[in-house]
Formats: sequence, C-alpha cells, structure tokens
Amino acid sequence: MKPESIIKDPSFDLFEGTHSLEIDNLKLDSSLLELSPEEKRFDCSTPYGGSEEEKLKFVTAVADRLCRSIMVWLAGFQTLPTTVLSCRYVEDAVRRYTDDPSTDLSSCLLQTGNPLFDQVLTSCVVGSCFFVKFVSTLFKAGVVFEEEDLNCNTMGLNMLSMVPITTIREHMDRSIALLEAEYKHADQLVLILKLLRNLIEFQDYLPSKAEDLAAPNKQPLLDLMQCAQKLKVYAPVAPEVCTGAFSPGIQKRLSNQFPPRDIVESAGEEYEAYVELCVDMLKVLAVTSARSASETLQFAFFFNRTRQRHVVARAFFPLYLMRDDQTVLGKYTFNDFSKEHLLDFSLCGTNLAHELLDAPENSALVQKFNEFMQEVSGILFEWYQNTAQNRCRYRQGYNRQLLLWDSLQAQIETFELELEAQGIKDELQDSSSFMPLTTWVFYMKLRAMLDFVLKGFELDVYKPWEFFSMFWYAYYLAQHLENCLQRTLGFIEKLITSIHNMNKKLKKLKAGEKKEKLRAKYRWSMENDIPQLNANLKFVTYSLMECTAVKVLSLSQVFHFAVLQSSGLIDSKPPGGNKFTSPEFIHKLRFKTFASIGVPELPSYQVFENSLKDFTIAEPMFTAKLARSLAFTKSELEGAKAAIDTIVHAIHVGDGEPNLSVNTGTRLVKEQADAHYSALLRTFEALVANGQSLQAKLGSVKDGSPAARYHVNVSRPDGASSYFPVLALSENQ
Amino acid sequence: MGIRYQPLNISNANELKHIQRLIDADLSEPYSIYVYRYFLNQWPELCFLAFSNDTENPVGCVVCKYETHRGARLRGYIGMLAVDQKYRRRGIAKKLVEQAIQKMQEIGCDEIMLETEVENTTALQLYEGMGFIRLKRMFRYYLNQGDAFKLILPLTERSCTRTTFLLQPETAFA
Ligand SMILES: CC(C)(COP(=O)(O)OP(=O)(O)OC[C@H]1O[C@@H](n2cnc3c(N)ncnc32)[C@H](O)[C@@H]1OP(=O)(O)O)[C@@H](O)C(=O)NCCC(=O)NCCS
Repeated sequence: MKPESIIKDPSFDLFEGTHSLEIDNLKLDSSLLELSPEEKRFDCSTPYGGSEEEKLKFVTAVADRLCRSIMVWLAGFQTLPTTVLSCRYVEDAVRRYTDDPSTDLSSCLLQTGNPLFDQVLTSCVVGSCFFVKFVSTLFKAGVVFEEEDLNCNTMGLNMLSMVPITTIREHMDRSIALLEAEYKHADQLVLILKLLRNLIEFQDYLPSKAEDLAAPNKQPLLDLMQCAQKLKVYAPVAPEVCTGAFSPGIQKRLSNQFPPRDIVESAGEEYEAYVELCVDMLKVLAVTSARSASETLQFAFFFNRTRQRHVVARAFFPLYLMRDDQTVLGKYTFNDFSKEHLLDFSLCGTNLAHELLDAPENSALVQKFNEFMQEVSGILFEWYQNTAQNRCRYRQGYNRQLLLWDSLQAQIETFELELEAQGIKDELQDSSSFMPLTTWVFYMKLRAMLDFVLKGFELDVYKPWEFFSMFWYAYYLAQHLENCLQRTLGFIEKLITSIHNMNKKLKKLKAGEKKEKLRAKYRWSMENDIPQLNANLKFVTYSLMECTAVKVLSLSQVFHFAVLQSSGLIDSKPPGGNKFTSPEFIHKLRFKTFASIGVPELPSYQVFENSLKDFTIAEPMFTAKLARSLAFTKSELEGAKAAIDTIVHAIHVGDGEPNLSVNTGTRLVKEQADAHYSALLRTFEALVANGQSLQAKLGSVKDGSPAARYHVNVSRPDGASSYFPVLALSENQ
Repeated sequence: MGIRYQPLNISNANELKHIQRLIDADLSEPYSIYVYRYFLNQWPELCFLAFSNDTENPVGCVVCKYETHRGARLRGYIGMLAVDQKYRRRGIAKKLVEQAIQKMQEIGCDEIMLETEVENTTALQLYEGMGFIRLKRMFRYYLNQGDAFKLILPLTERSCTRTTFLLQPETAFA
C-alpha cells in the first residue's frame, strides 16, 4: 500500500481515532504491561502473614487500601481498573462471580482456610463491589457525564448483580461480630468494615417504592461519617505490607479497551472525602423537607453552588427529586409541581387561577392549561437537573435551556392573549395586562440568562477586553428582570389591597344577598389567597433586591472598564482580531446564544459600541468627570449593598419570621445561601476599594500616559463573588 | 535562521514519522497511528511543516481537518500543533497556524475550532492573539487532566448563528 492510501470504515471518526489502541505500542497496548515478580506470584488463596497478628495486619492493609480506592476512584476522578478493580481480591471474586453468577455469594468467597481472609476480607470485597454496582446504577441514569464526572468501566465484570442487599448485610455483620469477639486488636479493621457496611445502604436511598414517602433514614450516613472521622487518624498502611495485592494486572489479563494506566495510590485524603460524601448526601436528602415550590427551587439553585458537590450526590439529586414513579419527591405529580411554581410567584390570586379552580377537569381551559404545565415540567426538570451538573456543564446547560424557555414564553403568551379575548384577564394598576404565566416564564428565562452570562466570569471564559460587553449585557438583563419583578410586585400588592378593600366595602353594604356573597368571597380570599400572596410578596421583594444588587455591581464594572478605557489602559476590541475575522464577528459569536431570543432582544453590535462611547470620559475636565463617575458608582454600590445586607440578615434570622420584609426561600440551604450573599457583600467592598484606587492612580492631572506606569490585571479578591472579578491596576515592573 | 513552511507530502512516509515525533514529545498519552492517519490521509492539504535550514528534519507542524458541523456550517479544526523545544518563541507556531487557517478559509470554512487545556497559557496566548475566543469551558478532572477551553475563531457570519436557526431559516427570520 502506498503511504497515501488507507482503509477506513466510513463511521470511523475522530472520537474513534482518539479511543483506538495500537498493538505493540508500549503506551497503548496493555498486554505489554510488565508486572513485578510479587504481582505475578500473588495468590488469592494463600493466607498471607505468618502469625495471626501479621495476618491481621495484612488484611487490614488490604481493606484500608480498598476502602480508600473507592474515594480515589470517585473523588479523584479515576477509572475503576486503576482503583477498586486493581485489588487482586476484587478481581478474583468478581471474575469468579461473573463466570458463575447467582443470588448468593457462593462463587465469590475466598478460600484460604483462614477466617480473616475467607470471612472478613471477603466482606470488604463484596461490600465494595456492591457499592460499585450502586454507583453504576446512578451512572446509567445518565445524569452525570461519562469520562468527565465518572468512569464506570467494570471491564465487563458482573458486580454481583443478582445478590440482594440483605445477603451482603448479613455477611458483613457476621464479619464484624467475628472481629469483635475474637480479635482484640482489630479496631481499625472493624471501623473499615462498619464504614463499608453503611456504604452499601446508599442503595436504599434510591426511591423505588411508593412507601418511600417516609423521611429517609439518615442513620447510615451519620454512622459512616463517624467511622470516616475515626479512620482519619490512621495513616495509610505502607504499601509494602501487601505488595502484589494491588496491581495494574487486570488491564493485562482481561480485555481492555483503554491504554494501560498505572494504578492510582492513595493521596491520604480519602476518609475526608467520605465525610464530604456524607455531608453532600445529607444535604441532598434534605430537599424532602421543602415546604414549597420556591423552597425547592432555591434549594436546587444553591446546594451545588459555592462548592461542587460530590459526584455521587450530584448524580443522586435529580433521581431523588424527580422519581421514576412520575412524582416529585413522591408528593406531587409533575404537573402539580409545575403549577406550584407558578402559584408561588405570579399565579396566585389571579382571575386565571380562580377560573382554573372553578372549571371542570374536562373543560378546554383546564386541558389547555395542563398541556402547558406538561411543557413547563419538561423545561423545569431540565433546569433542576442542570443545577446538579459540574460547574462547566452547568453553564452549558443554560445554553440549550434558553431556547426552550424562549419558545415556551412565545407560546404561553399567545395562550394568555386568547384567554384575555375570552375575558380571563388580570390587570396591573395602570390597566395594562399582567399575564401571570408569561411573567413567570420570563422571570425564569431572565434568571437563566443572567446566570449564564455571569457564570462565564467564574469559569474564566471572558478575557478582560470582553468585560465591558459582558457586564453591560448583564446590566441590561438585570434591568429587564428588575422591571419584570417590579411589575409582579405591583400586581401582588394590588391584589392584596383589593382583598382588604372587600372588607371595607362589606362594612358599607346593607345586609342582603349581595353582602353575603361578598363576605363569602372575602373569607375565601383571606383564607386561600392572602397567605400565599403575602409569601409571594416577600419572595418577590427579595428577588428584586438581589436583582438590583446584581444590576448595580454590573454597572459599576461597566464604569470601571470605561474609566480604564478612557485612560488608554484597556480596549474593548479583540487583539489581532482583524486578520481572519472582524471585531464584529467575534462579538456576534460571543452573543450567539442570545441572538435568537425574542425578548429581551439582543441589542445590535452598534448599540454595544455606542454605549461604551457614552460611558467613556474625555477631556476637557477629565479629572472632574472621572471623580464624578467614580463617586456615582460608589453611592450606587453603597445603596445596593444595603439590599444584600437585608438578604443576609433574613437568611440568618430564617424565613417565616413575621417581621421580615423578605422571604429568601433558603431555609434548607442557609449556609450555602449565606456564603453566596456574603461573597457578594465582599464584592461590593472590593469594587468600592477599586474605585478609590482608580481615582488615586488616574484621577490626578495626567503626567504622561498611564499605560507607561500601569497595566490592567484581573483580580479575584479573597472571599468575593466569583461572578465579579475586578479589573485592577498594577504598577509596571 | 531561515524557516521554510510547506504542506505535508503524504507520499513521503518519513514526514508522518516526524509529525509523530514532534507531537508525541508533549503528550502524556500518545495518539495511536490511527489518529495520525485519520487526519493526514484525509486532509493532507491541511497539514503544514516548518523546516529550519540548520537541520534536515521538520521542527514544527500543525495538523487540521474540516467538516460540516451538524449539517449547518463548515468547521475547520486544529487537531495538533507543536514546535520543537529548541525552536520555540520565534514565531514558528504562529506562522504555521496562520497558513492552516488561510487554507481553511480558502476552502470555505465558516469557523475554526480547537480545544486546549486551561493551564496551557502559551497556546491560549497564541490563539487568542489571533482572534479566537473561549466559547466554553469543559470539565475534565477525569484522570487529572484539568479543564479545557473550547476556542473558536469566526470566519463568516454563519459562525455567529445558532445551528438550529441555520437549519430552519424560515423560523429564524420569521
Ligand atoms: C504552543 C507552541 C506550539 C508555541 O510554539 P512557538 O513557535 O514557540 O510559538 P510562537 O513563537 O509562534 O509564538 C506565538 C505567540 O504565542 C505566544 N507564546 C508563545 N510562547 C509563549 C510562552 N512561552 N509564554 C507565553 N506566550 C507564548 C505568544 O503570544 C506569541 O506571540 P509573541 O511572541 O508575539 O508574544 C509550543 O510552545 C509547543 O509546541 N507547545 C507544546 C504543544 C502544545 O501545547 N500545543 C498546543 C496544543 S493546542
């Protein structure tokens, strides 16, 4: 064959290419792996260690390393063959089980003739395998991503698929009893067994039956955490104690579709990782106590925000929340859950809500509404699922979601216009129409858009020259969101007033049928609408405060950029963007996600350009203008900081406190919400300080070019919000 | 020192060996021969080599491909780029990449895409200096690889329109 010819299957693409192996290439052919003599000699049917004491030491060493390898796999993002499956005892047991699968453990018991091995070590092995099986189930549900979040390559081995949990439990309990009765110095081994014994209970958290309505049993998690805490004091056992018991050999012995890889040693942090896993699982389970849709929403928004949760907890969350039996937490149907979200925000007390209550189940109104709820459910569930993703996927998830929210908004608006034509209409104070459904969709969409934009700062996706356009757009979105929230607030206030006014009217009315009717209506509203309306009022007030703060932070960033640009220290144009492309193309590519969004419309490139010009400061009176601009920013920042202070206070005091004007919905994620808003508070301080620094460095009469003295760098002040990196000036070296 | 740039000569089996040598020098896990063959045999015109007149063998290379992306636009892709340690910081990579992009532009590509690790500041500097922007960040802690950025350089307006709307022009502009 000539060098220019190849034989290639049409379906062989780059993915196939980068995943293909090469025979006889040392780095790509695992059959060439060289094993040490100890690895070659290792025999699972020999009870290693001379004395009983040495045997105990050996078994403890293997069990400790095996137990750690589970966290090396999960928290260290490694593969199974280089961690759990590198344990010779695991390989031996599951290979035998794979050849002879059954509902008991008969095919995978160790047979050395020594109970420490045959009973205790077998327990550790089967417990670990059972947990691997559980993680594989989570993985197969497709919530987290292969190779970036989790690798579940079991090398075709059967991880005890038919063995019920009770069999594993019994086996492990017997081992614990044996050790406690007959081995005085086995404290560490007992702890490891107990840890694994609790770990297998994870499976029971997966909702599978209707009776899962009961509050989850947290005890295994608490016990596991305690074991892990105690195990932290033991140093990892020196690998020499069990040389050969862990080996990359499985990659050589079994069919392996991946390049050979070294086995991954313990980093020493594994028991801490177990503690973290439990903390994260407990947090996820807490969602069952959500009292409302807005609490569930806020839970999801915050639980994985300031710290990325353990991959098992992240994979578990959506499955736990939105169950196979087509319910949310076993409590709501999907449609009801979606409707709750609307009621918790803009739908409560509206004419539409009342009509829906009165209309028969089979009426066109109810049916059409339910169809929309189904649409809403679909997108809402994407939203929920997205909150559990790793931090990069999280931003990407919005990219897709935005199109869905946008098209839903267009459809639901049409529906509401039809309803208005039929006389089902809700009006604001100024008689313009409110449209409760559209309003909520718009709110969700804007929230997603803002989060998408700002998350890009956290992920370092924007270069400093892009800060102007990104923050200016965030400011633009925040203005729209603020407007939407103000309308909602005004509407809720109007409804509350009108209900209270009924009482006044009642007093004026003469007794009679009309009065009785109004009295009944008043009572009904007081009982059914007012509590929810009051709660909504507080939640929307909180949302508005937050939105204003984000708006002001974004605006300040815009001002700071403009000051730097005015001093020739930064440019909003891409460097070298002219040879193959143009600044306009680059800008449009950056905003591609938003170009198709109906409302709010993406401003044209020209509008972005012009707005920067508007913010730019020029001579004459540069110094005075600069001072004015920075003074304005400072006062805005201080005003908005007060709003976040209120929010932080409300989080501390807790929702439901009657004297509070806001309701944050963060009861179940107090710590995370506090961390989020406290970081925003620090950002306010950092921006005020940055303004002062800019003023000091650039405000005085310009002697020479500032660029000769300073350069811009992106600073991420300690403890401040990752969404608002600061453009600071540093002295040139 | 003079540097010559020339497209790959696919009929010269030696050149493939040199590309492998240059690229593998900086990879922890090498590409299989199939990856090289995949690129070089299908898009030989998109592979460029740099030769220095003080040595016989190539000192740098860039390897690319282009394909229709989701049936909507033509996307060029820079798969590999490397310059021999001894020849770095002399503008060789920049020149190689420019030649490749130019070729892909001539072919009619709407955009150029590539991925690079967040930690590879050298590569980021190089590409961002040419107008590439970071479109997204990818979580890749798996096997301790670290995150990566996906970079795109838009060459035509089509690069700036979502695929969904390129496929259904009637809904996009209705
Ligand atoms: C990346 C690599 C190809 C650059 O090769 P090179 O020939 O040295 O690069 P150039 O001399 O053409 O430099 C072009 C630009 O890249 C940037 N750059 C290059 N080396 C840099 C360095 N060490 N630090 C910071 N920026 C650097 C600069 O912006 C430079 O422009 P400038 O010199 O005008 O400032 C080379 O370092 C390499 O082979 N690295 C290993 C493989 C690799 O990372 N490939 C990219 C994978 S996507």
